[in-house]
Amino acid sequence: MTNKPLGNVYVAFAKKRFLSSMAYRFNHWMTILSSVFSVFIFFNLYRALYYGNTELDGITLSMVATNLIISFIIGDAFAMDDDFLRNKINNGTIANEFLRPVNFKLRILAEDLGQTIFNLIFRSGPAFLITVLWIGMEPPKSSGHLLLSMIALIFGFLVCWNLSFIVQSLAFWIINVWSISTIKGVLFSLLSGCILPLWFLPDAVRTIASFTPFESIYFGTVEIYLGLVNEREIVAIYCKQWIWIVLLYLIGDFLWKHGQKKLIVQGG
Amino acid sequence: MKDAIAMFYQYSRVTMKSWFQYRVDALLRSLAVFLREATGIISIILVFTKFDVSGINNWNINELVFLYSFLFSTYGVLIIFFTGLLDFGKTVQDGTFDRFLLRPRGVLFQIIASDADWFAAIGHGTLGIVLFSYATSKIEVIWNLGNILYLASAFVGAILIQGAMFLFFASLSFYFVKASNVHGVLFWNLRNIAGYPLSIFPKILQYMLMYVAPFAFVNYFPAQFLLRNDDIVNYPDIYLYLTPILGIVMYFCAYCFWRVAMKRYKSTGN
Repeated sequence: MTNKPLGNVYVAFAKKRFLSSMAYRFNHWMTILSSVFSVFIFFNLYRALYYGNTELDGITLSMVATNLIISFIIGDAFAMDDDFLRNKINNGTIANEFLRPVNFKLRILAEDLGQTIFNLIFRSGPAFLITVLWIGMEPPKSSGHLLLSMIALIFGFLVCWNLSFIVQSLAFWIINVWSISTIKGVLFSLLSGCILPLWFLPDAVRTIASFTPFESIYFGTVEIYLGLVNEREIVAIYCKQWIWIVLLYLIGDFLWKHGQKKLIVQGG
Repeated sequence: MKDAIAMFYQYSRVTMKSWFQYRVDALLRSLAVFLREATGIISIILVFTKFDVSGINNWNINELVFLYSFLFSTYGVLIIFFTGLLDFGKTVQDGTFDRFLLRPRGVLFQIIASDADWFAAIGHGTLGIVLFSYATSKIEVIWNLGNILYLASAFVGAILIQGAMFLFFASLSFYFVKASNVHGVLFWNLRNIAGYPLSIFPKILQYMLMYVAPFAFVNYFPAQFLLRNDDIVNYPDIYLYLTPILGIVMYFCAYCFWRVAMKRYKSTGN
């Protein structure tokens, strides 16, 4: 047996997930089609809304298209399986997980990362090309802005992942996390700017959104990419993202630790 | 017939009972469906609140809500009867279908009766009713006998159109394993479009919505019958009246196809 450092285990989990995603090609194409379609529907809707106006409150239609493509097409790659833990609890295989010399949480993160990288290349990639050719997209303000916005996107992934982990951990208390996960999805659609750009929210709702983690997932990326914010505001965006990452992590950790004690695995 | 209703009732009771084992979960599920489906229209309302836009292609916000409400109230009823057909590919694949064949009742009846998704029905239905009552209180529609009769028959027609699509794709499952997946993608994506005025979309999508998966007849044309917004000039007048007839014709064709397709069925065995 070769003596590999333990870190490689997580790489292996990520790789496993990456490879198993390759197996379902048909569903894969259908997913791409669906996201392209969604963007297309909303783009048409906003275009009809802009009818006769070149801009609404300083926001042009092509900025809206850029927002849709970044948050919907690229953000769509963020793969979080809210049901992952619940499935393991329901069929009892969670018992095996605890026996393995692997940190289960890191393992979930590794798998989700593997899936996300797969999605970025094979799902968002084609969808990105199709939508950019179809509806067009603003170029980034500068290459520096592009780089900084990518950093915000990575932080956004972590916010998103920690949120998902909280929902997953609820499976220790709730039999079916589907409802919670769906409600989370609704808040996501309304407050993260993915289908409804945050510029289009009434001021009161916009303020509410700024106090939720949803705002810290994609919107910072969009703002930085388009160059709508200055250096200080970029730092503020990063800081806010990290506040959410830490806060959500602590909540998730708390639920995880207490949930484990509650866990009863039946049968053998 | 009386026997069939009694059986439908029994089936529903059993399904409900099994679901209400977990009461909080049941409530949460209905709420989740309600909110998920309301997302689209909430987004539009928010945008209209933020900007002082007069409307989308001359449709003001109340008329858009009216258009939307049709989609949901019909689906609320549809899903009571056709849930079993939604994931029919699986039923064929894992051999559960054999069970239906062995029992002394019509196959389609059993599929319809044994699986009614009451949570989705409550979620979609409530949303439909809420939106419909809100919209009708704001828009000017003359409620004479003709309009009420039309609306009632269009409502049934709209359910049948969507039911026919369900039945058609379920029948395809006898030929292609993946038919259910295609159904999912096609049905949901096109249905999402149907929430908005047909005229805002490119021609090719409009044709798809009129002639391939005729969602336009589920809500756009029935709504236009009552509203007569300007963009109706793009379509033949006759389309306003077609929904009830189209529903019956489409359902009849889908049913015939179902009968033919079922003859092809060979059990997957165990």
